[in-house]
Amino acid sequence: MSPRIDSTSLYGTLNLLILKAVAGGPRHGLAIARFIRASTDDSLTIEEGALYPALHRLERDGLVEAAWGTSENNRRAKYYALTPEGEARLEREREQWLRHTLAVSRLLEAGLERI
Amino acid sequence: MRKGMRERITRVVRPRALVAEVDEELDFHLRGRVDELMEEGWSEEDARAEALRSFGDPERYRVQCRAIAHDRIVRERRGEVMGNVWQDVRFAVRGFRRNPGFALVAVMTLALGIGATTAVFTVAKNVILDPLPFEEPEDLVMVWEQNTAQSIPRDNPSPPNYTDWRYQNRTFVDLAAMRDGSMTLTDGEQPEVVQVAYLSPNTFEVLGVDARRGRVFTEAEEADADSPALAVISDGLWRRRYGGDPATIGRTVRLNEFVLEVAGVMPPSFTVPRRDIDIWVPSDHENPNHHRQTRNLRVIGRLAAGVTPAAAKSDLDVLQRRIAESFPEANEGWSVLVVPVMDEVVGAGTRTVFLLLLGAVAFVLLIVSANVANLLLGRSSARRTEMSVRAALGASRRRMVSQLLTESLVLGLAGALLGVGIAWAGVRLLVSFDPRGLPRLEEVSVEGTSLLFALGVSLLTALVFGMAPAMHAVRSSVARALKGGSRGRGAGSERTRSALVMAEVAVSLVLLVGAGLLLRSLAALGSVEPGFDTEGVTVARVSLGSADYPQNEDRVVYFEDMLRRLREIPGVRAAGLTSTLPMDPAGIDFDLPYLAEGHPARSEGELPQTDYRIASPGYFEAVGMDVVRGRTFTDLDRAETRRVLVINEVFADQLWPGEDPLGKTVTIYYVENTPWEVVGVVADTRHRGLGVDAPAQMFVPMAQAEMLFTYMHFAVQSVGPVAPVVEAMRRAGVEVDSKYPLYALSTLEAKVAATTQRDRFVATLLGAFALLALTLAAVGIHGVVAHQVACRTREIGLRMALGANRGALLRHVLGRTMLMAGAGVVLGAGAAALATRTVRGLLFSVSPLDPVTFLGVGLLLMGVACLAAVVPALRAAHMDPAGALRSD
Repeated sequence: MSPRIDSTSLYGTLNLLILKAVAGGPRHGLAIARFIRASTDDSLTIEEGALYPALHRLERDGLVEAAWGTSENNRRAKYYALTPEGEARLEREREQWLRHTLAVSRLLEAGLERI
Repeated sequence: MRKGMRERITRVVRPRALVAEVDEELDFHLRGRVDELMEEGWSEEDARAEALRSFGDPERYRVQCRAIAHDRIVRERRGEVMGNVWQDVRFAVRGFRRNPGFALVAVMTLALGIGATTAVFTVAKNVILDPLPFEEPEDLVMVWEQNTAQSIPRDNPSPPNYTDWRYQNRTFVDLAAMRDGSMTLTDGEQPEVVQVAYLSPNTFEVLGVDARRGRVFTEAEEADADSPALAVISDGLWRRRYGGDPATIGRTVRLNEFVLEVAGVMPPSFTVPRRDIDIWVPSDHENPNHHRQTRNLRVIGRLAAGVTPAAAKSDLDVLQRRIAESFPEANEGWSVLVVPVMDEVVGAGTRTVFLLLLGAVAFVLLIVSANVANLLLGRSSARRTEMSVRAALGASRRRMVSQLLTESLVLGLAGALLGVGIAWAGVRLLVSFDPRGLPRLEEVSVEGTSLLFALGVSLLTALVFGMAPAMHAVRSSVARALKGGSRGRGAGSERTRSALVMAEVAVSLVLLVGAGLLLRSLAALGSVEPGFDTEGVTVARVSLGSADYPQNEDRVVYFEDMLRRLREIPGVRAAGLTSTLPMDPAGIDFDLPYLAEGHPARSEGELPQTDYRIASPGYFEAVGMDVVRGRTFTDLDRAETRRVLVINEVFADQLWPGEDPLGKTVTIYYVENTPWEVVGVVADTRHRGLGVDAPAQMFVPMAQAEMLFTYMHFAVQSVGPVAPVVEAMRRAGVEVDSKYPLYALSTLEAKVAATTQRDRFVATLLGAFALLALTLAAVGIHGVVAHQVACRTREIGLRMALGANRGALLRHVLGRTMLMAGAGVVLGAGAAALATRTVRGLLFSVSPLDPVTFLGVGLLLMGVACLAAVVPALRAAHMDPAGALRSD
């Protein structure tokens, strides 16, 4: 098990991951958790329960919308899908994240050279 | 698709459902995770433990989720409502643009109603509600003297009495006194007669007011012998004479023989003791040389904390009795009258006027609401199909009602917007009438409260006129309406419309009766014989300086010189002067005690009193007072000759009924208590107003007056145009003594007109409102009848096809209208009989139940109703039966 990370500090990251997870089509919470686990190689583990307040918040803010449907094993499940606003937000956040990480890594590289 | 699902969720979710949904969602996750782990080979027990461990505390997340979901639903609902409102507004505006005629009529009608109401409210609020511009004005009272034994309801206090009150009372913070008059202002430029108020030096402190520019004078300053004599000037004088120059403050001016320094400029709202005061100067009313009989002050007091006017009265009455013990001849029987300043400024008459006008505009507003409701009802029956289709498509009743009410609100707000403009113009108009006797019109403007008022009125009326159509829309069943098509008659709606028209007729009748009574009262006043000529009489004032004209003889010389000049003016037939002109409140007007021949003397303090006037030879002729017996004054009545008196008929009848008054004597108690011989009797004159009976009067000749005033009124009777006479009089004034020009040149006709100005103001406004009401009622009747005819096209066609003749049809349609109007007239007459009691105080020789007015107005309304109905009725009668039958 990788070390536990306080989920609150990851709030922004978590939102981004959720948006990314539902970008491919409607998914229920369990599937989103699975997606996050798989795509981060378990290195970004958070309490799975924290996913739900985040989902509800995104729903409230109109970035995702929810509907009840039937899951692969025939159970009633709540599916989340990206709204147009969510799509736009995901794109914006993605660019910002890339710019940010790029800037940080450049800084780190440059810093090393100067030392 | 997604959208639809989401909407369904939103609608379905209730607090309990919300809890269940969150539970189900989290449950699904945990169970799914356990299944996954078991598929990976975990035992059920371990899988359960692992799922819970990696999930965290379910309870915590459950609570968080519920809170957020609840938050979401609240936001969504709010957004939905806002969206609906916006949609309704857009829908309403679109509808009005499709039907601009309807919208225009409705908005204009509303704007008129709201505008008139707001204008009257603005003025009324300013006059009767707003506090006076003094510090804590509710503590300020006016103090008068009164003598019930001599039936003198109120008189001005005398300076020594005021002084005693000021230093011996226990109920006042302080008292101030003032007197007004006029003086000549000379400071380099053209001399000008100005209105002066002589204030006790503490007046500004008692009132708690300050100058707008510069400062006011204080009592301490006046007591200091080294400080210069100060004057405070009015905003009007400052602008008029000094062009609003800030350097006016500190400037030295001459008032008659006094030199004063201008200390400050008062704001226009400071109208103490009169509106037209130009200069306020400090004056020593506490000087022991003043007489106790000279009742010439206005006294304002500031009550100590918690003291009522009644307590102040009993306090001062104790002092009055003590003064009467020391000075019985001057003070016997005199008590005080304490009146809150607000009641003094805004008398009962003014309050009645404004309550009356407010009531009248409220009635107009009712008619406006009824008319717009009628318009909307007419429109809603035309839109019946649209409404039923919407209902059939699933629009809820609530949504439909809210949409109809939104339409009303949009109309109401548009009306309010336009109405505020009308109110603004209306207030200007009201103030420009500048009715004498209506105080506090200086700074009226439409702002703050008035705008809120307009908004409130528009919302309220929108609710009132929007309710009826909205209710009808809800009540009409979908199926029935759809079946009925656009011709759906809606008997309920029809009844409502008839009732509205009836109410309009009734309300119009009340207003018309009110206006009619006032007009008849004015006509009655106009036909009153005042006892003097109003046409061709020009009047003017003069106010001499007592330093330049110290003795009676000096004044007589000036006056006689002046009269000679006036008589030389071409066209002038007679000229004279008097201490007080009839119908002019600006004179020196007071009563003196007397004792008449043949009437035994009672005790000293109980002498009767009556109007005392000074008149010159030619005065009676100049104002056209008829001589009933004997003669008037001549130039032969000199100071050294026998003292002669002219009295009026009332006085003669009162003293010596059935006897010849000539040669009898009257002893007047004034400076010297000497007997005067009656040499003439003149006809009675209405002195205080056309509606007020003539008072008993006695006149003494100018040359014999014991104290000849410096403030006198000239009257000149002339033939031909007045303007050149006025100009010549002005010139004559400058020629005789340029320091004391004649001023306030006017005509007696204007003075008489001024006394009925308030009544004319009320009658004009009420008449305008009544006319507006009548027009609106006519429009309403026309609309209803036209609509009835349109709805019954097929029925009428059928009747005609079956042989009904046009005359019968016309009678049928008109008959219904007259029935409606007749019911309104009867209803209105009942209401008017109750309502007109409020105007009783404003009526002169007309009963509030005057049958002529009631009958005339009733007939007028029936006639107007008939006219309004006749066009649509004729249209019905001339319909082509075949076309009518085919119509849908």
